[in-house]
Amino acid sequence: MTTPTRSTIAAVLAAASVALGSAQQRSQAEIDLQAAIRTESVNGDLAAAIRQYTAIVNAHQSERAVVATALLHMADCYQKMGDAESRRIYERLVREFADQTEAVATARARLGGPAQPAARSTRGDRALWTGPEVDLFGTVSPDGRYLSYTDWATTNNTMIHDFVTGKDRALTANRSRYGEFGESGWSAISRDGRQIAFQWKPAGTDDNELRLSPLAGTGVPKSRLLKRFTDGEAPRPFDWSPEGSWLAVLLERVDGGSTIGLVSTVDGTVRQLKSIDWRGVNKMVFSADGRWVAYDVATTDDGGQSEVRVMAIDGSREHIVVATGTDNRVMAWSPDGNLVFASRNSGTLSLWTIPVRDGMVSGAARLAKENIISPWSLGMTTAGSLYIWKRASTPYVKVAPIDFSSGRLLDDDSLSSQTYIGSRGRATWSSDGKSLAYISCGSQGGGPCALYVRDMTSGVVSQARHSLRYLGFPQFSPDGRRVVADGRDSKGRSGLFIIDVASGVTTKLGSVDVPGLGWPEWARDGQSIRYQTRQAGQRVVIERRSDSATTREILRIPAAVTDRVRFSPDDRWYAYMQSDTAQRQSKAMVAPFDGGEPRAVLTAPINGIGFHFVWLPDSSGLLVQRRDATSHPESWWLAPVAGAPRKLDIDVTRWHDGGTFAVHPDGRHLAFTAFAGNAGGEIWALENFLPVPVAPQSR
Amino acid sequence: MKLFAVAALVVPFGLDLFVPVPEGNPVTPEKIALGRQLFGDTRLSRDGTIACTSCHDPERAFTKPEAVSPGVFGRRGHRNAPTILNRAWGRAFFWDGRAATLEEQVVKPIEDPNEMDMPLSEATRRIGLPGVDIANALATYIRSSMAGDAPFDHYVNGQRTALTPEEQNGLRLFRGRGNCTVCHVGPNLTDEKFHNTGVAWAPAIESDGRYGRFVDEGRGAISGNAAERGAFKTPTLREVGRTAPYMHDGSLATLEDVVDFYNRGGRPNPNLDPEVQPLRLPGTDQRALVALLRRAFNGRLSPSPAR
Repeated sequence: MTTPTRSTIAAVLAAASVALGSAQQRSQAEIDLQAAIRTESVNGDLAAAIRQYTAIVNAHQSERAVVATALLHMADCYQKMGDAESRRIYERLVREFADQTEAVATARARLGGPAQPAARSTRGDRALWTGPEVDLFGTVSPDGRYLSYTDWATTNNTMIHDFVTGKDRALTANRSRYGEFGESGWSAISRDGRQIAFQWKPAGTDDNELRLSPLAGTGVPKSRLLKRFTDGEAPRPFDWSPEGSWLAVLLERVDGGSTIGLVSTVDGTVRQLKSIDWRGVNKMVFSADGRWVAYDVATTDDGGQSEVRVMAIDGSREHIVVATGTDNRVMAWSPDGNLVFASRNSGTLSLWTIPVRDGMVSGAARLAKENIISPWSLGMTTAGSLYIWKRASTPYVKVAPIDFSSGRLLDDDSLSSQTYIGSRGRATWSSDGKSLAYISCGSQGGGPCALYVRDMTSGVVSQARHSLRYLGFPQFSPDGRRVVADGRDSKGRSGLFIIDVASGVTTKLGSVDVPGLGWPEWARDGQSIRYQTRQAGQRVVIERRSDSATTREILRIPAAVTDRVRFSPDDRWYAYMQSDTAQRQSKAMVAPFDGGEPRAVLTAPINGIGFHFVWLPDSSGLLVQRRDATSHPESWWLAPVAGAPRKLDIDVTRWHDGGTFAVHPDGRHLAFTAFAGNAGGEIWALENFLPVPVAPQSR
Repeated sequence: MKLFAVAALVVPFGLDLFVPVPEGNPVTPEKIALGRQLFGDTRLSRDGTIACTSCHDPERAFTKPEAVSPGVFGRRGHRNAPTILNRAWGRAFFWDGRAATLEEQVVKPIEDPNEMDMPLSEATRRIGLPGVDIANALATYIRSSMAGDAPFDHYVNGQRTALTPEEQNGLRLFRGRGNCTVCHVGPNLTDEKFHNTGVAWAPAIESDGRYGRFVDEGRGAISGNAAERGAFKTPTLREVGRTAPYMHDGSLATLEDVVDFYNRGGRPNPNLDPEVQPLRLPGTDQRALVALLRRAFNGRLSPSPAR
């Protein structure tokens, strides 16, 4: 058994500190730039940030890299504010700063133009792919040609994107977003580029599976069941061992904890290495020799501090290789033994490398690249390119007047709030229309989530305290004093919670531990909460009295392919969305609550109806997202209970597909979540940052 | 920065393969054997009648069927002897967490006047080993004492018949309405944290507890934090079916008593953990929980117990 001495570790950390210190010797322009970025991203004061960026551009014209970065941020600020000035600045960047390749590539991506592939020898970043379907649930192939991802928007399939042809291929067979065969999750491509491991939840069960599929060929390949997890654990594959015999996996357990483990690709045997809390890890990667796995783990309750550890694959040893710091994250393991990690310890999110031999630190950490755009690694190619995902642009909450008679959104640029929300939105109105609540769940959406309430009279936005880590879809109580939401508490337990807006007191609803729990909303009387569950493939609505905690089933929909059920404000109707795979149709269904057959008020080609919909305040019909054949962009339709549906004249190309929208009780305003720029994500390749040339054989 | 140095141990099915071992006390077969011998050695007590096994009986999953075990000269302390199983994964030791490591923990019962009442210097003289060697050997033996491979482990790993239908219902309640996993989580079924369930609270005269008192300050006496008065460390539930009586003072004789205690919401007191709420479980559900606890977590011990 060998372990590093404390003096060795101290020396390594001291060397790392020196490196960090030298990185901090910045010019005044860089210092001003960091201050402006803080104003933008931490304080959320976009107007003040723009003033700071403008001053930097005017005062430091000779420092072109700083000026280009300042212009980029300035344009982003304008974009968040819905100001067309953003486009002018992006165009200026492309026109005048050709030498600043990273900034120009970003500006091009923002402008919606094609990614500009750079030569292999170019030092810097390349924007490779952007679009609403681009997510972070997969990995890159060793040659950098393919990327796995999950098509959340239309089919729930595991997918492969080909960067050369630009084409996408489904590896699972769903045809609708209701996942008639199952739901995909995380995936990882093998080191030889021939196979993919993916998470799969078969339809109609609570089980999860790990499956393997070949990447060669065309069409949907036949997958092999590697391991079925019958106790509700969700297996998240991160990486393949170099020789292909093991998968590094995080098992998220139903008791609220999680386990780092390996799964044999031969027989599905699970090697349970170490149990940690519910927050799990962000990334696991095998070393080049396959004897170690590196992972990052939170060290503080809020998750802001984390460290990087390396564990032997037989569980016999573990070493801390990067001590606790801000946002320390594993990114990749290069073939020469350098562990690549991200950290904010130097003030900005940067890439570092640290040599690791036999599982232990063997030299000083080295700053490889400052100010990277995202900590979400999708793996490293054999050529040493690190593929990362970032959100294409920031979502924010807007409120705009809408005229349903003419079918037009009158002022698309009106702004609800300049408070930086990061992600989510999910606005909800109080019944008197005086308050608008929405949530922000950090830049990537995973939490912790803040709950904001905007007083629509004064414009004041206040943050409502609560004790939850994550909030799903909040709904105001009729009196506006409470919010009910699905979520996770600080111990990672899922459930339904009521938040007292004034006091912040958060109460978990007991006795509701049932499968498929979600979609809570208040009944009209304000005394009951309705929530939905899944029982034997059916959607069941339960009403729970808040005073007595008694529950009763109020609705059961026998179709297996329904999403949430929503009740009309007058409680006369209920509505749900349904996919009819036989007829290749999606339907918005409405039925009388007191009995009677449901009928379709809007139909569309399969996958053609969006996830979220709302009732109009007068209960006369539904506001529904309807997708075209290509799934994007959506169009909005008014689907009355009686009468023919009609299309509204609203451009929603930059609206948040996963966000909700809410009609003001006056029926004349709409709150919704919009993206400042393009929807979805971006894939970038970070290149030529490793300290030595990378030899083939690993990623 | 804490570093882990780890040696291979025989880890039963269901437990983590990674076993944290301090850098300065690596696990060796010889040290395990010595620790096992010392664990049963009455020379470590002043009157020569008490060994570690006196309170931590290997035949009863390293516990004793008494609320409080007698020490030397018939003296008694005020807390129940917990199992030593799976303490390799412990993060704090004793019911109140006053020891940070197993090496620190193992010498305290030897020196405690109510337990073995033996100054470590005297123990060194009697045994013929330095105190640090005694501590390291005992800690290593405890670290190697593990329990796993229980029906619960087989159930969660896919063998759906490993639990009876009633036990399966109990597990569902354990994770759901029973709210047990708020503390009893992970492979070792403990969060290693401190919680006030009210066991140490004596309500005294007034039924609302205003004039009650903590008969044992628990964690609060160690941390000095008033909010932690009456809080005790979550014990593992491994082998819980054969480690009665229960709670830090052994005041609950049976698993039925334990389930009933939590079903009523613990014992109200100023520091009651907010997670401890009346469960209002019907009798069938309570029986299902008891059925789960009685058998599902009992498995195989590794190594086999010392006699």
